[in-house]
Amino acid sequence: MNNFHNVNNIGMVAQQQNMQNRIKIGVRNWQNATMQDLLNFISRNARVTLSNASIEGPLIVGYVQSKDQADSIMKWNGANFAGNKLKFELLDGQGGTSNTIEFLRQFIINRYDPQTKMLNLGGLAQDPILIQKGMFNNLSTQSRMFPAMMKVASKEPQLIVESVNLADNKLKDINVVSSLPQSFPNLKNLCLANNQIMRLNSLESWKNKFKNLRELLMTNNPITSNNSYRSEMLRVFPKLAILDNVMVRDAAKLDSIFNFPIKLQQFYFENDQLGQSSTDFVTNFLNFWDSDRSQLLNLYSPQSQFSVSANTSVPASTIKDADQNASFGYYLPHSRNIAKMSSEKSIEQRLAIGQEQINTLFQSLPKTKHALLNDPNGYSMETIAYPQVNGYMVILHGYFEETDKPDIVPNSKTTSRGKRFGSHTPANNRLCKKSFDRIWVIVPMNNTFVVASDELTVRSYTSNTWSQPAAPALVAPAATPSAVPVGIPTAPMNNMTAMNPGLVQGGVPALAPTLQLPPDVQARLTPVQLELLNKLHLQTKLNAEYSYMLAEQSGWNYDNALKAFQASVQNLPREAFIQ
Amino acid sequence: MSMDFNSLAQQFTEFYYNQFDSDRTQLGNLYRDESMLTFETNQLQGAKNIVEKLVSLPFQKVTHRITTLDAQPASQNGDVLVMITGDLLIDDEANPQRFSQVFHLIPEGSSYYVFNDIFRLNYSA
Repeated sequence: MNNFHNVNNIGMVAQQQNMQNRIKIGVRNWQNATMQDLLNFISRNARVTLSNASIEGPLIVGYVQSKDQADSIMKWNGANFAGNKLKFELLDGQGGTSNTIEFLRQFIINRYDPQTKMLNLGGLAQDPILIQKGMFNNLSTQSRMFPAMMKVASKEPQLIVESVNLADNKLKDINVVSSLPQSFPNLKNLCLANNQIMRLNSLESWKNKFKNLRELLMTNNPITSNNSYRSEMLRVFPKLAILDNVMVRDAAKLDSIFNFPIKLQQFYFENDQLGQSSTDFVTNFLNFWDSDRSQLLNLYSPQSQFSVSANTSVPASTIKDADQNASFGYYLPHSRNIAKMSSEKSIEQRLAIGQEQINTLFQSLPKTKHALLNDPNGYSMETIAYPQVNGYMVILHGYFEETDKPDIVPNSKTTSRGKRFGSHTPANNRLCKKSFDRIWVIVPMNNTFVVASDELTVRSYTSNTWSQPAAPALVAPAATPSAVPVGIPTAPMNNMTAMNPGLVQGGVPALAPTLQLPPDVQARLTPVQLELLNKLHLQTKLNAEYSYMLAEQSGWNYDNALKAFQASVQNLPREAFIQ
Repeated sequence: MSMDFNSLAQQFTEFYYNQFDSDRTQLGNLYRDESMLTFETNQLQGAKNIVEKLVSLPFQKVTHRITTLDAQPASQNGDVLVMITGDLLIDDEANPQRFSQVFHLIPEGSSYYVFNDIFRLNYSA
């Protein structure tokens, strides 16, 4: 380092600068003559010297000193040279993929309009820069460039893309742009006008993947003349309201359907006492369920029942971590779905009664990990009194990760039967994340309580509705002091109270359980600051310390804090985030 | 007990959703004064309040589609616990919403009524 400061040689610095500015050029179709002939030709016609020239594969590669020089050379693209047409290409100084990515990054940033939040990828084949780079001149480069662009774009946190324009790209289908929903799942407007999309099912792979797409423009594509075009688009895009400038769904009504008639709430308990005991019950139960299910058996009596059913009809979700092809192979042999079963014997057999049968069924289900403590928002619970037996019912909705195959795998012993059950092949028994609903009926017995009934339904992992209404609030422009993250209903007749381990009531905002502030820090903060901090914490997943630092540095302005976060997220250490 | 709980669960849900989808104003005779409907954040007691709530839901046409149905006897008295997951198709909307519902049925003479009805629209697509 010190040496560098001691050099103090302006000339050398300038030379370095030159080296950095120089542009690498590649030349094709020169092979009918020598390299020297080519260099003379360039020097004579373009009046530019191609320095440090060398042969690299089919190319002659050399450097020019400025962009002007490069432009002069590029003008000779297609010139006749020794009976062939020369082709000049701008190459990156380093020539590696990292430069291609950087190029695409710049390209995308140039094509993004922050005012309209639109990424304009229209008419790419006509883009002079891309033509120069030779990036979009044929189908195979197109098929590589589109996905690369999508990927690069989705990694730019400052790009908040609500609209994408893909017009005038000669698209015959959406194959090359099929990854669009992965990059922009929340896209609101999409333009595919002036392409060559023809087949009715061309957009099938996007079905249900754009959950918020409101407007689609497909004019000037052959597909639009198909009779079923409109109904097909409505089917593929669940919230499409405007198709080719025509209102196809009543947006207000659609909102009312999707937001449904009610405000969704995460927790519901008939009274506080039930809330506390059921929270404790669920927490302890799932702990043992994940670690050692046999420990749970003393909660069950000889009359207790347990059954499981698999809901395989829920389509794959685009939510992060969702398995696109969730497998239910471990569940189906035990699935007690009366609506789908005709054999009364199976219906009877699949209800486990008493500890022994229940234990067997417990061990026949994949091992799991729930995230009740780390991700409380992923779970929703209702507790309802069952006065006839002096007990209560707990209903839990949430998700779990399958961590290992079951201890007992049916049919593995009786191989002869294995073939009849196509669903038991290992490929269909992949472990993945799943959503579930579960109900326990808990009744008192001999000074303690037992689980009288236990029903579990599993389905492919999807996003939940209760934590979604909060999402728009997180990106709201300013913290509103009155907003309370968990809705506490005020209906007087019910004495309903939302219960949450981290929830403090009485004018103080509820803090996420993961936001653990030192008491003295918390005492110093105003409710508005606490709320901002909580919001920031939930949005950024930064831990308490970093959330606080970020809020402090941004003058307790939520917008500024979020911008600062987006600008520096790449450089934050892992320990800055909730572990 | 004249009927086994599995058939009861099946017949009940079939009847209930058919009635709900064709004319939900007529659901009142399935509930009693002590019946409780827990509908997302709302809890309502009594047949009259429950039906009022169900009728007030902001859609004209509705179709319930059962995906899974499981049932267990819930007490020695013949109570039955029914757990359903399925799709809800509202008006002419082709894309369903997912619901889960628990019915706690209690025998009354030769019939049953709904003591607890817990409805959730809990998962999006």
